[in-house]
Amino acid sequence: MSTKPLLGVYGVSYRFGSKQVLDSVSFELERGDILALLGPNGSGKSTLLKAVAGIIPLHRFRQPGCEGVIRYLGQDFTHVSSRERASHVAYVPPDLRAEFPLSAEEAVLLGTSCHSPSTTGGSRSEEAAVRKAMELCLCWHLRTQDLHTLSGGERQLVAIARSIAQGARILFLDEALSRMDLNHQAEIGKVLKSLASDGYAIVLVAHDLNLASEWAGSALLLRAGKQVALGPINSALTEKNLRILYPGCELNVSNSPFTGAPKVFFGGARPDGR
Amino acid sequence: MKRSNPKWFFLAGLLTWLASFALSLRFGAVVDADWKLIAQLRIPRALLASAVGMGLSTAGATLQALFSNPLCEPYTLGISSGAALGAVIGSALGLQWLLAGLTGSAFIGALAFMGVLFVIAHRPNVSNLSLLLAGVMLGFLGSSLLALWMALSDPEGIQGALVWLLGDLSRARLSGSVASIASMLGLLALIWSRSRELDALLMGEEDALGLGVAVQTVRKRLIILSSLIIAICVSAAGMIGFIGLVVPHFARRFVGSLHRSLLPAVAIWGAAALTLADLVARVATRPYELPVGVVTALIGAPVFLWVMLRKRATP
Amino acid sequence: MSFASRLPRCHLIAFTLLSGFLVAADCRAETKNIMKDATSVEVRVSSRPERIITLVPSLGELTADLLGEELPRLIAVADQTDYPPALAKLAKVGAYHRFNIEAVAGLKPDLVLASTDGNAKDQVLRLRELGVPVVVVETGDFNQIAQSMRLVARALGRPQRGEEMAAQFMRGVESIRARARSRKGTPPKVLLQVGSNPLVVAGPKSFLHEALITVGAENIYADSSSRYPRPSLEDAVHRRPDVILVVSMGPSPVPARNSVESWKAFPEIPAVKNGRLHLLLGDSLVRPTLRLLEGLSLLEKGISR
Repeated sequence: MSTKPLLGVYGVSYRFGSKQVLDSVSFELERGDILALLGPNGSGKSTLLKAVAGIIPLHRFRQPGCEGVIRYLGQDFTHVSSRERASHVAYVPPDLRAEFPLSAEEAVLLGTSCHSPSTTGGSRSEEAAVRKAMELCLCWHLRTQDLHTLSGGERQLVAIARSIAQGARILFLDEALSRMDLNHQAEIGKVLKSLASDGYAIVLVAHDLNLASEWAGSALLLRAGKQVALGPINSALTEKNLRILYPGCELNVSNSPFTGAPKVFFGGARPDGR
Repeated sequence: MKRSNPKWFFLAGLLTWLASFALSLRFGAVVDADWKLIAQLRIPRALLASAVGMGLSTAGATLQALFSNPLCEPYTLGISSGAALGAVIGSALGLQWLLAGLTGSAFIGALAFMGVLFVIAHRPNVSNLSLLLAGVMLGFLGSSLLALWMALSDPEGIQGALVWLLGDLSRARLSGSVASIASMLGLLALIWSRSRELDALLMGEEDALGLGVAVQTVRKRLIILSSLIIAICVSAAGMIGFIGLVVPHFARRFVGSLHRSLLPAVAIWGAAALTLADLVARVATRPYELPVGVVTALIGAPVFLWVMLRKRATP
Repeated sequence: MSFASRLPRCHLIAFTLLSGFLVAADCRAETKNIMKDATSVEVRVSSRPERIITLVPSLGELTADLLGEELPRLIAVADQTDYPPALAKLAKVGAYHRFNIEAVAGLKPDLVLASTDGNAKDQVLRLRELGVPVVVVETGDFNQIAQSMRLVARALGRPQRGEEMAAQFMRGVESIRARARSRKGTPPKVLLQVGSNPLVVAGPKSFLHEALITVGAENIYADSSSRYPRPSLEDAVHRRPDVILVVSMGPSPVPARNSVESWKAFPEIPAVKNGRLHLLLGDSLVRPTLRLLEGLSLLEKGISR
């Protein structure tokens, strides 16, 4: 039985100037997957997500060192229009910022613009979609507040709601959890789990390895643009792999007493400095 | 967040504009004017003020959204410098005697600069920031060439150029004013019909791409539309500042940033604001006219400062 | 026994003819002249305009001169029209370089006088579009100044006075020219300064230049291409004028006096070395009217000292 994966990313490479930011990275996503994308700073995590989401143009300019094949349900997705892509894959940025007065509800409404850019209105169905998305992300009560009065965590909830309202079933969360307190993190975790069980596929970038491991079922580890490991969370998040990612750190991986998920203990810098 | 009902805000703008228009017909340099004077001079002028006010504020709002930068205004991209240069070259070539001479050459100048911007926007991999900087550089180039011309030419030529630069609605003629209103309404409708795209750009280029907007195409389209608006406004009436910057901020305070409600509000309030400013310019020191650009700056700058200070108050 | 039947028929006919003639004569007073102004544009002017507006100070002066006791026919003038002093009390229509169109049209004039030296072309066009009769004069050289006197006089309905004035002007000019011709020696090289900061001098296309030539001087900027060139100080010093004349225009002579003083910093200029550095007061030199003759004799004195 060969079912086509929801999203297939094969051999994505990206070169910026003289730096090879990504070097032949591949992964697949199924419905209900939560994939943790881990790696040190500058390993290309954001670039990977942006390239797949169409924010960074992978093929537009036929530059050397930029290539890759992206498939959605087996069909070629690399050369599809922005609108088409946005209706399937949504990129949730680390922070939602606007220089102009926008309420939370209006920000989420922006997500529906890819469906009907040329109509001037927000129709009933769009308003319903916005409400549903915000309720799912536990931020409906913030709807009339201006974005810049919200806390970082609340803004993230709004950002995720926007991506849901976009209609995409594949969500890329780039550093979504960095600014949140434990309460909010717990809330988001709940939301992500319910989304996954609804059939969404989620890729989660996080610096906090333990947070990522709490919800992710699989992990992709990157270092300097190269793939270090890809697989179920327990087999990917090992001390051996982590030593490749963070060579200067003393690390220990054990299983959580609550869920059995791998937890990383940080023991400071390694004495020999490597 | 206190917001007004967009329909009421528009209606208020409409009433303000109607009142300004009526006052502009009633008052002017001459105390008791007959109908002929009003029809020949005041009506075309009030119509032109409305058209230019509408155009400049719409262009300002569009550029602010396009570059997701609240400091953008119609002159940021340098189109107006192109128009000024065109007007000046036209007067050097002796085109003033032609009825539409200077306006025509100003328009051509503006279009030339727009062409340069379009070529830059067409190149792949050009970010909003690069495009913005290119526009600013074009503006500097234009005004330097203008200054050079002014330094080398006769004092009389300079007088004309100075008046033009500070904004001058006195060249209004009925046919031109009606044409301006019609073209402004048309261009405004074209921009308004795709309000959602403008909305998506509010949060930045990257976000817009993520939301599925074909940013490069939309950018080119909006640059052409707003440049056309600016070209028409500046060729007809010189450079009138502040309207394009302040009116959008003022309107956003009341109806928010989504362009479906914002653009009509911006248009009607812009028309009202410039018509009022021109009235003040004509009447405050009669029979001398203040340059209307000076009036808009004197009123616009404090308003703008107020908006900025209020923004800072909220975290 | 009616009155009419008592009159002989020939008297009746004569009376009819006479009244007819008088009525016709009255009608003729209302007909318009079509005259060509200095820019070769045909303008319809009534033969006796009663509501006249002048758009530059010199035209105000000229009109007042030509109208004499009929001065009330002049109803409004441009700013700074102050000679003769009676004109200062008239209604104003704005500065000459950008007058107020509505103010002019609103006064419903039947004759407006404008000049190519001072008024904006597009504004004159606009007035004409509004149906206002505008006669434009040129005053670039002395011939044009004389012609302008004739033209304005014709427009005002006083052609003889214009001819007399023009003749008087040309006679005055000719006698100054004759004096200049009879003077021995090479013509002095003169710098005629009309503005400072930046330095503005009289160039070849201005009537000031012609004034210099008439009094027998040489304009050091005769090779320039503009009417009022703005050379650098360096260049002016380099040309080593024999005489520097600073013309004071405007209400206060102080800026002009300061200009005169500032030249003393360059003793290498012959004008400064020999003390031939003079201030010329009054606007008789810059108004292209009959008073220009006074200005010319001022200029004459200036270059001979």
